[in-house]
Amino acid sequence: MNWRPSDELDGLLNALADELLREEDEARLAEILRGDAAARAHYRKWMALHSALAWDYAAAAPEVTAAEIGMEQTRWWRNACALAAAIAVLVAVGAFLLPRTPSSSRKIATLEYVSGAVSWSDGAGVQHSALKNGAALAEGTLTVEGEGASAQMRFADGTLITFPGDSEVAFSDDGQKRLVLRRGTFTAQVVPQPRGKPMLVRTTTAEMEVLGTVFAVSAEASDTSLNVESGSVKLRRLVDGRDVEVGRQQGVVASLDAKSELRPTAPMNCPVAWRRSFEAPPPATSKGEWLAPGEGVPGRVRAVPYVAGRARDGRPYIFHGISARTPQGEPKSYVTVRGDSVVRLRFRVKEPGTVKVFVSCQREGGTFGGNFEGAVALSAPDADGWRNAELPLASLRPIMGDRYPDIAGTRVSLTLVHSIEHDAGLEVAEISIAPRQR
Amino acid sequence: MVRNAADADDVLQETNIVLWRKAAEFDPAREFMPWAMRCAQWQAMAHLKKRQRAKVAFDDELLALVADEAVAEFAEADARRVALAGCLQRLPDEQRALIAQRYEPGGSVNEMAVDRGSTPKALSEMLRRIRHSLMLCIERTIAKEARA
Repeated sequence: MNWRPSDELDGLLNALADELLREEDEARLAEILRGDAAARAHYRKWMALHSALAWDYAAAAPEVTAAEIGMEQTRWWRNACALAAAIAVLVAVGAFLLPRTPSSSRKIATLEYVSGAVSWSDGAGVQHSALKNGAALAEGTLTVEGEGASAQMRFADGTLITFPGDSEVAFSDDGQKRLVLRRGTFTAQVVPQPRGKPMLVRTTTAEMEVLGTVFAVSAEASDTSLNVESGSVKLRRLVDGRDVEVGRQQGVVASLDAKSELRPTAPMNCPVAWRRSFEAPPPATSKGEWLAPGEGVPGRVRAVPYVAGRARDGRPYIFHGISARTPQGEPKSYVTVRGDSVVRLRFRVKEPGTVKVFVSCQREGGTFGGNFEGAVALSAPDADGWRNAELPLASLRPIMGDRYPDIAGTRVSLTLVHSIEHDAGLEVAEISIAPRQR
Repeated sequence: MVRNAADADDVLQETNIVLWRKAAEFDPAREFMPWAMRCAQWQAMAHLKKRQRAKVAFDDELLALVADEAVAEFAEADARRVALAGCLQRLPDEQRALIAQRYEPGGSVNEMAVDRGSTPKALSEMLRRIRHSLMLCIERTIAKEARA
């Protein structure tokens, strides 16, 4: 499905559901629906969700705990009546939405760099895949698919947004830039913005105002991490509306918990040696199927498929791999890279082939520091098929080499081990990054 | 057509009564959904006339268009509801609790905002993100099942 709803339509529908819609916006919603069959279909899906939550979920809620929430099947005729009524009834009307001009096809940014699966959905909802460097973008939604993908987008005033991995952001610029980070991470180098029109960044849990600075923001389902390298950013936590000013070399996390502290802190020290084995399950933020230890076999993670890129016709390139990240809520980066740092692996494959290591790095202040990748030389396996490999991090190829050439001095926030498109049955029992002499 | 869940419930009740009364008139050879939807549409319009709203942007023509197009989507409705159950399970606990509070009987963002020391707008924005996640999850689940 290529059509995607505009932020305006979603905002109106949300306000409708929450009974916050103003009458003047009712007319705007009707106008959108009259002229767009796809919008009407979206409206029906949205209202079906709302009615299902209101009627079925609410009925179940008092009988179960929050952790056990679910819905039971109902008789078909009840569904039919509920849906029929929902369609006719829930054309309801409510919400506010800040008045906005209709979506513009004016080009406001250029895609300076693309690697992997990156697509752009324009204001009319048409999706453009297999984008190339230099593509001009009007307001819309940019999607960077998969941890190994990356992109850089530059607004007309020179403001540069870097997406180091899996991310989705809606953006517009009508004299004031607005970015809605739906998932993932970006680093922004923001040139001074016009007086009274700061760049606005919104996530699930926070809103930020930026006048001109370098910062990184990362959005999870229930929290937002902001790290400022230079200048300052004003952050407002949505759950309670509290504001905080985050200055140079400071970071803050805004979650859904209004009782949690909202205080900027300096970057934490990051060790130069890190090791992860898999005797216990890895954090849920990591990729791979965990296999428990037993019968002389160590705990390990097995490679799982993921989308690493897309062909021009939209066909996905499926890679197979495992990844290591920190648990949610902890600092993203976990080891500092020195000039003599090496990554060591203990792994096995059912079918020998190319195995690659990909690392995504941050600078000390939490902004993007580059993506790097290299192939692992396969050593002879032991009797159980396990192989040991060592790869100097300085030998990895910088993926955005003209912008982020050096890995030394950065901090690793993601390590990905994969067998490209070939499902080699890769299993990893241990990964470590440390100076060579350790 | 109507502005709140209470009115929606009223129309649903009225529609169900009409469907019950008219069950004898229903021709089993015809499809149930177009008939049921038309009944619901009439009830909703009648409800609005009773309320004599000063301004209704959703006129009869638009409502008929929305309802007519919905008939073709009915087959997918059950799959979407089943998918929603799974998607709710996958929400983080805090988000699931927020949805539970919003949709509990009589729940409203205004009251939630007072309870949480927040603003209705801020809370609605958080709910918007959760609903968006649920929509995406439902689409992915249905697409995955279609491929299986």
